[in-house]
Amino acid sequence: MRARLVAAARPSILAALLALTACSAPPADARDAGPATRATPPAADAEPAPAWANTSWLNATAPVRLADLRGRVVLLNFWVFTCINCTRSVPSLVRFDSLYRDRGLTIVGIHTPEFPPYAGEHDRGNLARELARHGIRYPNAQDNDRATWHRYGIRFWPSFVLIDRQGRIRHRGYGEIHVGDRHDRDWQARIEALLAEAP
Amino acid sequence: MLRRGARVLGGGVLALACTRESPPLRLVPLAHGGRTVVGVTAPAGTRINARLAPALEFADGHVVRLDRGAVDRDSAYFTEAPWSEASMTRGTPVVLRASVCDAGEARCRTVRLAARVP
Repeated sequence: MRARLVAAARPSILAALLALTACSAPPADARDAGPATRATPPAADAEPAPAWANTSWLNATAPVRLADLRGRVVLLNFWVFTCINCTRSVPSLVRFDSLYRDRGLTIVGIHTPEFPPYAGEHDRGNLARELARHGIRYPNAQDNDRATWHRYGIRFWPSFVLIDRQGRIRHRGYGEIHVGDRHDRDWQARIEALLAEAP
Repeated sequence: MLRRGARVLGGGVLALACTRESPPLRLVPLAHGGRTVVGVTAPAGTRINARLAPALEFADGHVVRLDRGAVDRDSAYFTEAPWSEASMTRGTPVVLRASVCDAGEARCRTVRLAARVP
């Protein structure tokens, strides 16, 4: 049975306690582009990617560290399995992984819960199930305390950060991508461009 | 979300945007099955995540999920105001937490605001 709005006998006073926190986010970053990432600064001007210190990893035998990935192109995917925009983007990422892992690309999923633990997003078993369900084989870190999310200044699910072989951030973006769409092609082109750069 | 001839009962809380990007959500009373339940509405163009149903967080630590309501084909978004069957005392302060997704940019973010049970 569909709920319906109840006719009011008379308007009552609105309880206007409004929180002005928690729905705000870090100040907008000019590099925090939308789905179609904007032109990026030259490599020489690109900022170093912050290191992460996540300790709980899936699809990895040991914690993955940025320093260990020097020489490889790294695509960070900030996501959460309860986000449909995130899970719809997974096929593109799985495809990139299969195409480019052996050519020097490492995709790292940073799984950052949106809600507190009562929603089940923090649970390692739930995440493991979702990784298996979506055929994700690249390493994923649990970012339950949002440390890496905040370190990278992320605001939306899903978000992407592309890091070059020298550990510099070259592209940022957010929003759902689909295999073959414009955003997918853009990210693929950027990955290929960075893979073509000298180590 | 309003139907013809229907009006929202008073007590709904309009959440002003914390930033220009935060959508206004309304905690509203809804009629269902002959009784009044609590639901949350969002403006046109803003979709409420059905895979992560909105939550009302009470001061004593208990949480009520607004997880009832019709969903789309993928069970990704609510197609009507999600609501809860739980009994709640009108006027009780709560924190409403919701995952909202912009249709245009295909992204999701969390909205959290203080409110009172309508």
